[in-house]
Amino acid sequence: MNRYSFLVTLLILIICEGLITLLEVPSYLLPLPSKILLEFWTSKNDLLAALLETSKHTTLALFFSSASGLVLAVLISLSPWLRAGILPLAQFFQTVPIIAIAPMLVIWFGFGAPTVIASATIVSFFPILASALQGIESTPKSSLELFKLYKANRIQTYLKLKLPLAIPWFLNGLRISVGLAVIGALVGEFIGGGGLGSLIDSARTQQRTELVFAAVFGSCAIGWILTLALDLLQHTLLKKWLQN
Amino acid sequence: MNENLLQVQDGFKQFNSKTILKKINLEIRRGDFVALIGPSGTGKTTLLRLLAGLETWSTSSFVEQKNSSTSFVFQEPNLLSWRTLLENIQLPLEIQKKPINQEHLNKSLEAVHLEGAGTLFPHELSGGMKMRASLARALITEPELLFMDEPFSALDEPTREDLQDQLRKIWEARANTIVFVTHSLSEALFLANRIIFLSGKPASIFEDYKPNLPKQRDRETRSSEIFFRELSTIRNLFQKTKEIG
Repeated sequence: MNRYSFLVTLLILIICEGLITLLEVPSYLLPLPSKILLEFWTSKNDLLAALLETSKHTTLALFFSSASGLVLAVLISLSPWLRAGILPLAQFFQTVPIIAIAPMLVIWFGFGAPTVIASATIVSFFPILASALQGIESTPKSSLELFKLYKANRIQTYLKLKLPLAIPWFLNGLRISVGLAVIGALVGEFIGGGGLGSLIDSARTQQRTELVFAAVFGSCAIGWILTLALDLLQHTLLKKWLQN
Repeated sequence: MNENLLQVQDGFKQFNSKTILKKINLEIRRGDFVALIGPSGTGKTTLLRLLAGLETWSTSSFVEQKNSSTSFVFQEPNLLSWRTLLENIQLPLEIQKKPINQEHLNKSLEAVHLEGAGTLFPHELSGGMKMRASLARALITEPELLFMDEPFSALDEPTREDLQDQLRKIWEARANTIVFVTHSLSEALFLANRIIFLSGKPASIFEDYKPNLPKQRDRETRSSEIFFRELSTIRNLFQKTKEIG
């Protein structure tokens, strides 16, 4: 966040504070920004514990979806048979709303972390698979011909050409998946319990709207921090790699 | 007479039932520097790719390629952006699991005037430097047969002439075999000892011309009287290829 966006955010919060006070909006409908800020302090222990739990679930899910997405992308690119068999299925599952299958996940994995991680993995998997596959298949024909002329085998072509070229694509997919993984984790937590999802649900039933808002901002922070970490990784480790 | 490295008889090439090349009869002998020339769209690059084995002939009565090591320089330098210049040059050695000798690598850099640039990444190089690196990569395995597809076409005139000089010197020193596609008549004349003109649609070989120029060529050659005379001859031949279609 730069200086200008910070100032704009501050201005919006001040306007909201003024309007809510002026229009006498009940706090159970829309709490004052100052009260939400206060709630952060009052419920800091609950919020922090929930935030850490959801962060852990989201990060683990991203790890699983990255690993499985990348492996499946390589397998699909290797075999037309797999492409014909798996890709339409993966595209179909992408269209199934996670909220609809979350109750099934509880039946399969039980309450708690496994359901939450499965939910976040499912929603974050497809963008990684699609991007990595696109990256692998976008290898220029002339580069492939160069490797063919040097009689490179399949493993060499993947390790020295296709996979390095797919890294920027994979990172773009991962960036999209970060936001989706947070959504998937929250949905999983609504159903399977734990983390910010569970905290939001219980605060809602108690009409503690300030806590609901504080938890929502917390979930935004997870996505923001993970995206920031991804940017940092990209800029420090892969700066030279991705320069072109 | 030098032995044939490549031989094609009655080669035909079709794409989507459209004939591109017909009745190609060609022999490439060891030590030849062959330039393929002809009007745009005649199939020069297709012929080069067929000779390099990147495409297959639709029909032919005879094709022979001696089991010689080959390399290819494309129109684009095709450098891998995540590798340094030196790492790009040693790529063929890595793939072919050949020993990587630092001295050999340095000599390859020197041969194309890229000393001291080994640690740079492709985005830090000029167009001419990238093309030099591409040439060094193609030569690192010391191929017997080198195919080049308009490698200098995107470069400015001075850089282009500089690279032509270097390529000619490398060929004179190593005596390998080069097949080179170009649009430029003066480039073909300066570099090659055989100029093969393609013409017609579908294209066939119109003329296999051997320029009467000294083997040792340098910058002076380009401004010599004999060079201009030969240039005039091949310009006339080229004009005829255009008239044929």
